[in-house]
Amino acid sequence: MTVFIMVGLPARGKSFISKKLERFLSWRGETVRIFNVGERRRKLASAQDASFFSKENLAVREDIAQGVLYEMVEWLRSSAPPSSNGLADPSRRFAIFDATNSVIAH
Amino acid sequence: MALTPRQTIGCSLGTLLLLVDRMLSVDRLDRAQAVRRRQVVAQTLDRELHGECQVIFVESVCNDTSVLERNLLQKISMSPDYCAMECEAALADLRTRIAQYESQYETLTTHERLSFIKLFDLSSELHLNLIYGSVARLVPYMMGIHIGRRPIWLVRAAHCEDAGDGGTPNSSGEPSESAFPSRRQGSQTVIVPRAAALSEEGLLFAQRLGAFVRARCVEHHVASDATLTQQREAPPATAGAGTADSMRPESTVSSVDAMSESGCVIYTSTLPRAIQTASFVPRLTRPHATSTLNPLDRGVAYGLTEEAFATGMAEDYARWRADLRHTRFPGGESYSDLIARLEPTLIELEQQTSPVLVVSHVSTLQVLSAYFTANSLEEALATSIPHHTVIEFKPSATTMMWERELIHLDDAVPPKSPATPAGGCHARHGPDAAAVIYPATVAMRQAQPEELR
Repeated sequence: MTVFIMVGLPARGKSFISKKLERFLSWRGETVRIFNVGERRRKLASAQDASFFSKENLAVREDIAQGVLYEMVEWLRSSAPPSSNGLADPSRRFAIFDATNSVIAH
Repeated sequence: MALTPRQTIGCSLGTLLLLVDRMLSVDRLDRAQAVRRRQVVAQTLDRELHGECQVIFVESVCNDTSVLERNLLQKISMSPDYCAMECEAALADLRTRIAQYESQYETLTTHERLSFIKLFDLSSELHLNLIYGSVARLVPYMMGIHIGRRPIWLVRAAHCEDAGDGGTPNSSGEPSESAFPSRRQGSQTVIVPRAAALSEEGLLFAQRLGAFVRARCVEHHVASDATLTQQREAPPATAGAGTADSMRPESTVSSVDAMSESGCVIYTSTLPRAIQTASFVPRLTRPHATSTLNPLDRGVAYGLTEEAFATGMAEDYARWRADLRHTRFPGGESYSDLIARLEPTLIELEQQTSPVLVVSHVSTLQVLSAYFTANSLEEALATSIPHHTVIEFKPSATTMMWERELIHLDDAVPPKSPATPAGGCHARHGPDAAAVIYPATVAMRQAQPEELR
């Protein structure tokens, strides 16, 4: 299994690259999933303007990122065959961790 | 003792320096933390997945202000965070957000001993560190990633002399064929000689295709020049000497310029009917005829309708149905084999920044379309690839990444002077010339029949 961890400031095309990679890998027949921290943040936190991204909120942001990280670990671990024909090999799984940058974990 | 003015200045300068140093060290601490956090993520994944996981960091760096401004505008127009905000307010907010991250941000370096791929300005500059094996095979694809707006046209080789009824588009222009040849009356197979030439109808389509591509290429060049002019007229606040400007000569957009630039990059299979189909199309470079775009080799099931395959070779058919992607047609290829050979061509299509035309066959076009539409292989094989129709894919800012449009060229009035060369290219590469270029192939293959795809 392979994990791609996106790194970069906002608006540098991280999600674009993630989606491109996902498209290409799944076209080749691999099992791929994007784990997007921004989407999770929008679901969980209410304030979404720049104030949310100040240093004071670092811990909250880290918690969200951490949650998505562990969800990704669970997905990579799960041995259930991802496709109906049961022929996909779990060792060929690709996960893409699309977070704002590498500010994750304690 | 009173301080001399000189000493006062010295003192306040010292205090200032101390302050700046403190600020910088806070900054350094943040940056050090960013680096340390990456190590923690890598270690967490390694621990939780018992060392079975390859961890690759992919960093996107943008120093080109024109690329960055474009990304910012794209982000505020697409991100749910900004849907309720005015454009100006959203831009200001996003810039504040970025500034907050910048203070904590540290770019990847080789000292961190992590595997990484660093992409610069979404162009073809890449830095790699500790990248091996299967991930290294993804590097050519990542080099091809760009944010250009060029269209890609997929076209099935036009109608042939010997195609018979099975290959003729019906009156609605929608043949019902999908993965397999459709059934013909009194026959279980659809076979057309591999070296078949285009029929009169096919040649007419080739001419219409030439006219269509010429018109679309002009549109494309005018549109991209307009975008460039817009960027020049309204330079972003932070822009210095825009890189995009300096890369591009200061040319005024005239129709003459657009015409001279308006060709496309052409890829065809090596079958004469595909080469001929592209022969009226204005080209930027010599067309690439490549066997990677040749039809799927169905082995013993070659030319058979799905029904004939299912009844005649029930066991093989059942095996194929159970795993469409990996089962080889006995004596032939699997779709997985086909995808593997198409991969380098797909990467080339992605890398192009000019409009691209691909002339190929049903099986290959179904597989290529699946990339652009994000369809599963099963869905792709159920998609019809009609004759005499252009399948256009344009990059799109939506989550779909590409928008698709089907353009039938059947109802158009045939161009009056179809063989008029653009820039003199066609004098040498007209449809007749195509047969002259490959005389040996034509002669050798004449005896070998081949299905119509």
